[in-house]
Amino acid sequence: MVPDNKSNGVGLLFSETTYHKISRILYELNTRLKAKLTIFADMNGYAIDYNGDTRNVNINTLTAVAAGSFSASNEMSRMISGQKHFEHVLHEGVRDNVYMCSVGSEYLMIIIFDKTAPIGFVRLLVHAAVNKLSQYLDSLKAQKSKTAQFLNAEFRSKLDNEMDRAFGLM
Amino acid sequence: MYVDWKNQEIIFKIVYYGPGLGGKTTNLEYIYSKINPALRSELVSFKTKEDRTLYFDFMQVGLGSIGGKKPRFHLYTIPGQIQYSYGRKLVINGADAIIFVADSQRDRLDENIASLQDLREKLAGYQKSLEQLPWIIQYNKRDLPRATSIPTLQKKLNPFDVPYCEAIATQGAGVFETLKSAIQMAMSKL
Repeated sequence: MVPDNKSNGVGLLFSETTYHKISRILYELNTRLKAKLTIFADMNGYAIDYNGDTRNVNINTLTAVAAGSFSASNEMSRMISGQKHFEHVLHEGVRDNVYMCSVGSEYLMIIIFDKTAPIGFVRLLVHAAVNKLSQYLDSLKAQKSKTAQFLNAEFRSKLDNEMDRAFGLM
Repeated sequence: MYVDWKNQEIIFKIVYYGPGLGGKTTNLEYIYSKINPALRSELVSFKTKEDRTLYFDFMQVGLGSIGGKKPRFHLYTIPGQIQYSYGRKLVINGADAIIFVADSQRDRLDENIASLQDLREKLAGYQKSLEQLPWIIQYNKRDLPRATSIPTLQKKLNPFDVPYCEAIATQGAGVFETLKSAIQMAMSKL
């Protein structure tokens, strides 16, 4: 089961089937676009799944920054026109572009692709992928997170030891 | 908290809150400089020309695998300056624990109080409150001659009697202790 971050400690879970469907959509999108990287994340900056080349990038950092950037754009949208948010944001780079779009109100798609790829084509395929994703998100059956199950006393004790070691507190 | 099942990672979001120039970024910079580079990401900072936090700072800290699961901590700071209210609202969302970095200097007491009130308001925007969320206070800059006494700070800033740490973030004193306490508090709420 795969949790979706709703709150501290108690989240919701994606069914495993849904998770695999999401993975499949990302794979197909990344392949058809010949993109470098496609990330499905939540608006809090957690990467839920991704597809592509991650050798030279820290996914968690990139996703946190991208989500922050997207949220800043949304605030700008609200300020200038009262719109709830921008649905798409494009950053044009020297070699690569970054295209971000919302998936519902809580999720985000981030695609990094070669600058030579036609933007219209990217938008078209991303739009189709987002529609597919939205269908699955709508049909999610939420369950209370069971993640606390493995965060038992033994885990916490070992975590304390790991922290002491890593933080130089021994 | 978020569980990345693909990579078997358990990710916690820890947010450093507090007034501008209180030492939030200094905490992260110290952690960045001292922790084994293999355990951390880059420290990403959005700063103004004056070296003040514009949006947020971010760094991931990871620990070794425990029972096949790898704990990861996303450390964020908020921009303390009053005009960057939106950045604070954004960053606080989804926090598993908050470290309120208070500036111990006597003439910063009002800013500390205002920042704590701001934190309450930001949390209220997400239907949360300080009573619900794990949080800890770090009384920073304990080495400065104009530092307010701990009992006075406690009276003014700690109505819920949450744990606190004394710190001199520029020297690293109390920095890791604060982080560890915050993580333990986040865990205890699960």
